[in-house]
Amino acid sequence: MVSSEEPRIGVFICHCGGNISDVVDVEKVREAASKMPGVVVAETNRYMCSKTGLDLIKDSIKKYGLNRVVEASCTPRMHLNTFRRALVDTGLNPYLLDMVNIREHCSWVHTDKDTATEKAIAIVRGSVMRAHHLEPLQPEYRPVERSVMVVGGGVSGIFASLELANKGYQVYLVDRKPSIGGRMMQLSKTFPTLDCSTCILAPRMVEVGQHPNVKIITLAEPVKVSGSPGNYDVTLRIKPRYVDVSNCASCGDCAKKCPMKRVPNEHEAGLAYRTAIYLPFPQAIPQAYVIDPEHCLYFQKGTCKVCAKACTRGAINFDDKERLETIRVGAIVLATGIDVMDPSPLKEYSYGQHPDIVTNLQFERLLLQGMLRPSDKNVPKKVAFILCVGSRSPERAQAYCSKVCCMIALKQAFLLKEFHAESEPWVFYTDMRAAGKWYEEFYTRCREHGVKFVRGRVAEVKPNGSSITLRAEDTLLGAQIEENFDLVVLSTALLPSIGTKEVGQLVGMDTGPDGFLLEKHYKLEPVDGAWTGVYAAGCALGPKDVRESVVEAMSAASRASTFLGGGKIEVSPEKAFVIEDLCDGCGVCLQYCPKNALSISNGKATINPVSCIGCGICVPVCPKQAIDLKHNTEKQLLASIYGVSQGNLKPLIVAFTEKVVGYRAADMYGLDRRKYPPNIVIIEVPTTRRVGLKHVLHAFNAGADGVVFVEAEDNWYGLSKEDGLKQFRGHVSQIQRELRKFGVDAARVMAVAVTLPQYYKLEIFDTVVNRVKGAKPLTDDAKAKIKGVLSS
Amino acid sequence: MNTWSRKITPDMMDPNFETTLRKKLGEKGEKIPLCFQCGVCSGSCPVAFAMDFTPRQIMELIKLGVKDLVLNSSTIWLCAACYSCSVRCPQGVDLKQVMDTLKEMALEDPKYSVAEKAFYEKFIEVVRKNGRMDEVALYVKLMPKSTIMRNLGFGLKLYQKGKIHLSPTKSNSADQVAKIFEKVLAKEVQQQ
Ligand SMILES: Cc1cc2nc3c(=O)[nH]c(=O)nc-3n(C[C@H](O)[C@H](O)[C@H](O)COP(=O)(O)OP(=O)(O)OC[C@H]3O[C@@H](n4cnc5c(N)ncnc54)[C@H](O)[C@@H]3O)c2cc1C
Ligand code: SF4
Ligand code: SF4
Ligand code: SF4
Repeated sequence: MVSSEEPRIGVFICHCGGNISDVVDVEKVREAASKMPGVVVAETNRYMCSKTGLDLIKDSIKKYGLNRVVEASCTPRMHLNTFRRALVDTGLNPYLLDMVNIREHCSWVHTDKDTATEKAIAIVRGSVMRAHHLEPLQPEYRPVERSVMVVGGGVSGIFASLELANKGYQVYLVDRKPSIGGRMMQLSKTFPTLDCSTCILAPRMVEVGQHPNVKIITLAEPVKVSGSPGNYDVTLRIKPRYVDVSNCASCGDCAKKCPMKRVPNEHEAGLAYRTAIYLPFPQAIPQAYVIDPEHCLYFQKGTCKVCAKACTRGAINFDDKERLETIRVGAIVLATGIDVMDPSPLKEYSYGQHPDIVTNLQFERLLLQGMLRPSDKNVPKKVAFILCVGSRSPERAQAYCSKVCCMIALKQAFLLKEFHAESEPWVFYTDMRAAGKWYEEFYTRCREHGVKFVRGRVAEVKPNGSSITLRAEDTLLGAQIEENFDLVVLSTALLPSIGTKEVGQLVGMDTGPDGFLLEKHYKLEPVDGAWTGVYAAGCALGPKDVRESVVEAMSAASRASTFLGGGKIEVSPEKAFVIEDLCDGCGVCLQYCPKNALSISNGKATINPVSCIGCGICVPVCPKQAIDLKHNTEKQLLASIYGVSQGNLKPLIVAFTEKVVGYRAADMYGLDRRKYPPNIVIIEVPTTRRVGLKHVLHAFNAGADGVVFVEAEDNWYGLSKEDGLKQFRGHVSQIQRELRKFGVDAARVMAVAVTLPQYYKLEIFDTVVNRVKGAKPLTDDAKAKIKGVLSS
Repeated sequence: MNTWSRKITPDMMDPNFETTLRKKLGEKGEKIPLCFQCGVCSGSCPVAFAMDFTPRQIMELIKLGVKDLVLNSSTIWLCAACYSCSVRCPQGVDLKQVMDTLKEMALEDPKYSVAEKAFYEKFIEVVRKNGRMDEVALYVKLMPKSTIMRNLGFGLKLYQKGKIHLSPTKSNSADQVAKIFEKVLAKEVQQQ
């Protein structure tokens, strides 16, 4: 067995074509590595990930009979599998590889060559020492559920569902509204081809509604997600409809009798009324009426129910109740779409002060209602379209460009002209963004059609009797322009749907500074979430047009089916295990496990490997040291600590960094070429709570001068962010308190929690180094005390 | 009013202009490069109609570094300090503050001699001396003798109707106003 053989380690150091070698003297690292214990060979190469590099590794394994490999290059998030494959190709177990990140965590974040090289040597030493204790491990496989939940039934959700259903997956299409359809069902015609929006979407809605593999669940939204990739349990909160969908014939007899006739109609963007029992719109799927309890006389005042009397089929049920339902699915697609910003906080546009100042969404409805002014139902002659209302305004509203409003305004101006040939559409724009297939051509068509364009962002919209006065600068002339209009259309910013952040958090998907969901990799994994088996599509990821939404929907469906298609998922063997001889069955560990994976049977702790996520929280809490963690064993962790802490870097600070978010945040810091002092060396751990007082004492004993814990701000294995943070802080301050007993200044231990978008929070590393420099000295007395405790 | 040839040539450029201005503005200066020429400022400006360059154009000239056109523009003197531009700018440019700083820069150099600047300076002089505005005094300071002589008849008519006074009208609190001037000046010196 490999683990019992004498270690024969090969160290392979990559130049990364200068990315590493411009800052780190790789030759010096190679020299130092070749003298480290157990190292048989140390090599460098321009690109270790290239065929030549990989061949060098494979040949060396054979030539020198290596049984451990240390690869010093870029982040393992990039090439771990590439290098593992090289081991597998030569018959070595892939877990006998250890990677050292001398790029993102070294050459990209440091500038001084000498100290950067010094640091590279230290982390290579940590890895070599750890490699001594690596053991071969076998991954396990678990079956996956062949079903997908699609959240959001707009065009994106509908297309993702159809694609998956046609591939044979069971799909649950969930929408919180009473009908699927999303924004597109509110639109008139769609740019640039001007097909009627409902005409192209409604047939797909019918198709998805009748598909044997699709179950549509409306008035529902996810409130909890548990489980793991391939086996997620999603709990939905389903609101009562008060109408039995299978029984309702949507004849409308109920609505005719409903006394509540002036409820603002959401589908008409507030420009018409509906009854309290209503059909969301004629093509609604499911085709069934729904009661809006907020406006229903019975729910508000306790008497009425005339609709129930009117319904000859007895489809109305006032006893319907809100309920929770949990569904197990293999994968999840978020397609929660967009809302249109309320422009009233931007006072200069006077939205709400005059009935003829409307949003672009309302204008879509006006086009469908006959294109008359809301105020007097006259044909509007002069109509102004104002762009960038609330967009591209970092200091006033949204910083981003809403991407489609230029095209929306062009389309609307064009359609207006088509509707009323004598009308005069004016488009006031900041920059005309018509980049897309057939978009520029559409812009040209608009000019041919007589749409007027003024380059200047409107400064002021003022109601002026029955008309509305606009003021702007025609920036091309450098002259102010003041004009009166019959109707003013605000092309308002598109916002992420209300609740996007919350629903994202349920499935580990962050939102960016713009509030839209953050994909795993901007370019290369554009529809993936951070968790395997979670995807997103359409406007949930950012404003976009229908075509692009559909493309993303199909990509997300394809990603989900690739994931589920194999029928099983590889489960990491990196799990905790109990050393039975040491365990006395005290059960202390049970209360710490976030996944309830631990139980006591026959007087000993046992771990359910299916539930265990390998967080390692149980390891330091066991008073008998009877629990250990595969691939991050006590021996391996201590070896890393001792390895990195030797050498000349002073002060030396060990950064115990959580592997999912913390480690990647440090990668992104490097990717951004931000800098921190080379005194910080990162040791990857499954969570910072894998690291106990003992490990911190060992770090000081090994020569470190400080410790910093880098944790994920919202990745707490089921705990809420607040509780998770509280536990994290508690854990660190407990360690600080204990250290004081040894006479170690608490300033030598710090904690930071990051999220991926806030990776820059790692700039705290500068402070950490300064605080350690300013801390009370580590006295010989304290060191002796630590040594004493550790040896006993 | 500024007249220029509508052609910007190398001799008109000062590559350090924007940097100098940004330094003077401190933190507020950081927003200057963010201007994307949307025109909200000019559209909001109550005096833009009378300016030779609109406020947005001033921003463009600053970014190009055409110092002389900026510091010799009427814009900076006509700015009414109403803050409409600063409040509405989507990029957070405090244009009113920019205008103030440009005025300071133009005052430092006598080569900038646009009429609006002279008016501004004389106006301040009169107020400083009399503690209030005095139309006749300002008129006499601003106009060449020949013009004054030519308009004597009109002036007489105004005088007869009681619209203007011939003896200088001094405010009762003129010395207090003068003190304010002194204080402000002292502060400015201190800041420099
Ligand atoms: C005024 C206007 C005009 C437009 N004109 C055009 C055009 O002419 N051409 C064009 O190509 N594009 C146009 N667009 C853009 C187009 O509407 C979008 O690209 C498209 O609707 C995006 O579809 P989606 O499915 O991603 O999101 P949406 O259509 O917004 O659908 C999202 C769905 O998710 C549901 N949902 C949200 N949150 C939850 C939750 N937590 N739980 C359950 N369900 C949830 C919502 O109820 C909704 O049904 C226009 C947009 C607007 C606003
Ligand atoms: S798409 Fe056009 S109108 Fe919309 S924010 Fe971008 S530039 Fe402004
Ligand atoms: S490693 Fe984490 S999940 Fe596994 S048993 Fe220990 S505490 Fe539980
Ligand atoms: S409002 Fe602001 S961004 Fe727009 S032109 Fe004026 S200064 Fe530039």
